[in-house]
Amino acid sequence: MGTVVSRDARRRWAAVVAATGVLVGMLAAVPVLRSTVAVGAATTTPAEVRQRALASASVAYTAVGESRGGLALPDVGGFGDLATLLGGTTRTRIWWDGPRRWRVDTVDAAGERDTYGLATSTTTWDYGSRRLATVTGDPSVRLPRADDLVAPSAGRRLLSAVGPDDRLSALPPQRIDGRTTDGLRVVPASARSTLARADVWVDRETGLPLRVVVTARGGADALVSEVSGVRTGRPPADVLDPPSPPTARRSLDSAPDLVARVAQRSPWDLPDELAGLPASTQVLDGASTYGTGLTRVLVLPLPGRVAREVVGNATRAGSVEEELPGGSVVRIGSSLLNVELVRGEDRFHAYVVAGLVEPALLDEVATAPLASPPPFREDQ
Amino acid sequence: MIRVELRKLVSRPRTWVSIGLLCLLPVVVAVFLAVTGIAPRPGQGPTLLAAVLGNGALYPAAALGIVLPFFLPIAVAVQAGEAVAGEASTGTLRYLLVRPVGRTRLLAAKLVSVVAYTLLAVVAVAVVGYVTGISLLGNSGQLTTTTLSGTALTPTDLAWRTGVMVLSIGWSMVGLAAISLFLSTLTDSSLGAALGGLAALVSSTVLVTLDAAGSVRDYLPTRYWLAWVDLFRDPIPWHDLQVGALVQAGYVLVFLGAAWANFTTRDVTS
Repeated sequence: MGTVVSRDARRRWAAVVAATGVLVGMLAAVPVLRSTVAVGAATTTPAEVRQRALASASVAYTAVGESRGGLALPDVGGFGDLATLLGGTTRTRIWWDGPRRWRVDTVDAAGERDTYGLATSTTTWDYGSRRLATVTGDPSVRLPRADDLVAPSAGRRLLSAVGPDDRLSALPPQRIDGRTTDGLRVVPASARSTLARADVWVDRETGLPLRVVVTARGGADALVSEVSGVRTGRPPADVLDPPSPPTARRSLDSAPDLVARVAQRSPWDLPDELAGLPASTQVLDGASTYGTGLTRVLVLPLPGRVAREVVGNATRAGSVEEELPGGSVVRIGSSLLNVELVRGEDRFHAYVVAGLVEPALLDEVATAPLASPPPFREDQ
Repeated sequence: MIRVELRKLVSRPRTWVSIGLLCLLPVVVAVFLAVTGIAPRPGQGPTLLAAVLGNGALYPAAALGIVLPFFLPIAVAVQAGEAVAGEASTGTLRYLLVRPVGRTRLLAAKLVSVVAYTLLAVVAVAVVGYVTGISLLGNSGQLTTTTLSGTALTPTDLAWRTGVMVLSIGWSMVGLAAISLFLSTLTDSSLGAALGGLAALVSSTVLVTLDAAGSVRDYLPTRYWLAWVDLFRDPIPWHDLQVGALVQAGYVLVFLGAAWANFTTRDVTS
């Protein structure tokens, strides 16, 4: 009897194990099969792939995105969600009809924060604060938002910054989200950059960057951003219209954050060169970037009151104020992005100096305006 | 056999006491909200709880959000864990099987009973949430309810979204019930079976948050438990709800199969 029961048990357990095996096997096989679909060899040069990616801003699509940041930045008051964006996982839903009409939702289990890009403004609906904030214009300097990290936007921004000295090379094509992509690798020319390389995979059909992997000199992935479920075609128009909840608090501003507000009121006229780096982009009167290609340093003059507040926030977050020739500095660092809050001995001149460069280069850039303070802007 | 098990389910005081306790917490929360008028800030506390003041019609969803993380899984795991092991521990399993009833049929009847309890519990929380919400938190009758995306929800929208939410959460609990039911066929201790189910729940909850477990995350039983929140976004992203239902179906299939293989061949001595 015992033998009959055990044989029956074996048969039934075998059926269950076989069914489970088939189920697990199917789940495991699908991604493997998708990745083994033959990927045709690239027929275009890296420069052509880059051009296609840069021209993809007008490609309408919907997708879901995920960006994973590995930067351990302290959460400093005044810098918004910067630490969370660059140090955590952000999940997004994207409806893109063009650079002047789009919507990106940042979603989590507790709510969502939706940003609507319109022709002359950007509107953000934040369920957490029940706030509908509209920012008119497009500030030249502002803190990063979640929509900046969406792979197509991040990829285009990265590739547009590539300078003539930076090295652009091809990576083997890959299948991503069921699409054939051409890979690009960008390596900064300067050894003083903290960016080791940035890899961008560009959809062969549409030119949309589908995956961006930014690697710091330390070897770790500092930022991985990718989109999936990409469907090309114009999203429904009503999805792109900001909501108008009756109970929302509304605000209208021309600057979305502290950095943009400060940049609008920058008191100093910065020089054309700092620490041997030429001014590359005059982002606003009084704020500028120095350097070329991917090795650039942003210098943003701060009003004294704002500088005191930001330095106070940084020291409360654990950073230490140290001496620097001609003043003091608070360093907020990570493996990739470094930021310095610099104040002159007169406590009158203060700057934010930031870039994907080593802290020593930031120190050099920061000490130059402390040693020779720039004049007031004439229009102040 | 199924009728017998269902009759047993509804005639047991324990069934109604556990469902009553499940409904109690949302009622207590509603009373506090109504008396103080202080709701959590949007984005904090259980999902949607911030939006229920002045709109009690949204409270069924908030009530289910309150009991979903702990109390509902505990109740379901206890009920499913007790299904077979409870009969074994009280010595009635042998006598049940003496009747001309196949083990497969008995297991199926137990399963139907557990599923019925699960749906009963979810529906009860939703109904009590609705009655409590309307009576304590009020209903403006206006289109003041908004989705997480800030768009307006009509009463009809709210009704069908809440209905789908009840089904989604109910189905999620059936997955957990299948695990506990399988464990219930392995042991004579209903407590052990229930705790085993809860251990699976806690393990899954921990692994879901772990980046290192990213390769298996999408297959964990609790991965999509909160996907019902998507029903209150606009447009509704159906992907996670659909995948979540399929993942639960996988767990139901595998663990019910294992429960069947074990129960129909084990040596019942108690």
